[in-house]
Amino acid sequence: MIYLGFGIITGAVLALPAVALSLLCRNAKFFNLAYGDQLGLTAYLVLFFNVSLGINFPTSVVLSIIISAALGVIFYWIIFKPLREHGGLILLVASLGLAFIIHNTELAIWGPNPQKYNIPFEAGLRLGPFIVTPIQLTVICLSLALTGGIFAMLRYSGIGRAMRATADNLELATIKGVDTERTFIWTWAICSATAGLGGVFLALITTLTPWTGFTALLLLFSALILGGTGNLIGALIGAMIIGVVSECAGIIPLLAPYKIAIAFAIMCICLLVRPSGILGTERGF
Amino acid sequence: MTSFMIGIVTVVAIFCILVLALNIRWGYCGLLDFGVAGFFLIGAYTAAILISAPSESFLFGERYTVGYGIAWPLGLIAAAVASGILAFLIGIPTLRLRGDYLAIVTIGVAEILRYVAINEKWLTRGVQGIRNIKRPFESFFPPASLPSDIILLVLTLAILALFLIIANRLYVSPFGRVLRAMREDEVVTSFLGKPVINFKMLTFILGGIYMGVAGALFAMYTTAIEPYQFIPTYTFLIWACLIVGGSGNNWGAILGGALLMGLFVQATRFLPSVAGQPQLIPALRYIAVGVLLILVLRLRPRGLLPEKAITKEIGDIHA
Repeated sequence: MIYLGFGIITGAVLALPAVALSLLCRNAKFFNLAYGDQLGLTAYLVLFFNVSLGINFPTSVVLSIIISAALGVIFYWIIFKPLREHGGLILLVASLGLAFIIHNTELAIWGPNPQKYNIPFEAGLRLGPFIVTPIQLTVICLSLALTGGIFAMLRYSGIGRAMRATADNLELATIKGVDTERTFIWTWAICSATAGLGGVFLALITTLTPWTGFTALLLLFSALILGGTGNLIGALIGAMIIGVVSECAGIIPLLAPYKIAIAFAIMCICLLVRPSGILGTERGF
Repeated sequence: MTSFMIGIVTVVAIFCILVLALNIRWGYCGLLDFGVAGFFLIGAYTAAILISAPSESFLFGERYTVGYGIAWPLGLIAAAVASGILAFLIGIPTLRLRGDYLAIVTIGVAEILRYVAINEKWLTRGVQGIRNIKRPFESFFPPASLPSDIILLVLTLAILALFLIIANRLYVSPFGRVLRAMREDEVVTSFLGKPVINFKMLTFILGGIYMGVAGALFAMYTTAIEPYQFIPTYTFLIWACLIVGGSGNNWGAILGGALLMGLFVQATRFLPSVAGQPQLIPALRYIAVGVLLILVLRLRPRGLLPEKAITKEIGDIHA
């Protein structure tokens, strides 16, 4: 039961960045490998504001998320927009370069050791068969609420409609008068901000090292491909499955060190049986 | 000093084999392989386990025996076979899908293999790594002597030259022509009746064989390997070499490997490290490589030695 609880927590925390990554992949038309390290970088920015500067935790989270959104837009402007004409595969290579720049920046500034936020330790609460700490409960609720927020934004707001139109058919959206450039900038800003928040949540429930982002990236992509790339509800379902199954595998001692391997095994079986993912379409993203 | 220079040339030549393999995969065929470190690891560990003499060790109160003491040419071949099989296994679920999926699966498999090397102590001795890997002709020339280094250098350069010749022949062969056609337009190539997935699979396996041999040579060069030597950073470095040198051009791949691995990564090794922050200089070095990779992609996307544009190919068009 404890493993199932951990699985649900991991799944809920992965859900938010997975949905945002799915949205980003759908709009930008490539797998952004720098996403995981952007998660990690924002978590480190919170560390900087919270521990080094001594600002209280919520304020430092807000500050870091604003910086993360700005960084996302800057990356789009100086790297991904000029390279778009070369096609998705070149964008992937560029995002690998960016991922290593961010990863090594973290390593250069904060070093390889695990870090911890300056927040009070709280005892666990008992909820039926599960034991959760108040922080974990807050993180789960916020994560699920914001995931719902993304869906609501896509459904009801003007920019959300523009995002869906741009993702579906760029040329048609441009002809119909959608400001696609503005839409791209908003997409990068929103997805980067969400990535940042996901990174902070991950750092709160696990540890924060320069490798947190890379590990998260692998889990996120297996969730994304399992659910069907470009399908946001699929990403949500994929994240829950990956979270629960990879944590529950810890019951068997032999499999305990191989969480990522289990996530990847699920993904590879899915690629063999149903390459479009659980909810994806044949066309892909 | 001589021995040291020989060592640097050897390791740069080994990395050049990796860049060459990546060029066959990405430069010829457009296969996005982000698992270079994984194929390298398979080659290195296969060779190391087979070649090294059986040695016992005690870890957490249990006794492990690692090593079979097989002759080194067999170890080299076994490394190539193991890495080729890995490529085949990865190819089954991914090669019929879009290129992006191959990228994600390879990057994950490379990381999983590293976890296997860390955790399966009965096979790999975990983070302690495998030590005392035999070099070629060790009974005649003792390890850590100049002749031993020279023999390994000659062997590495000979294999690099052989692989370069094969890669160059492949480029102009009808096989290579199909690969380049697939890179430019997969649908048209399949309409011409070429079994696209088979071609991709063969290319992927060939790249795997190259990387496996490079891994085996690396194991013999260092004589001691541990999982930390196969972190994803090496995949990224090899990619940077290929993009900077010029993908699609074998000489570009070699030039990129020599420039980045030789001049940049090896030479900056002698910068004094900052007190208390041993990770600072290596991290800055990799940041610089990353910036260089993105700059080359933006300003000179075809690399230093670009692939020759096709003007007119002599030979039968119907092949």
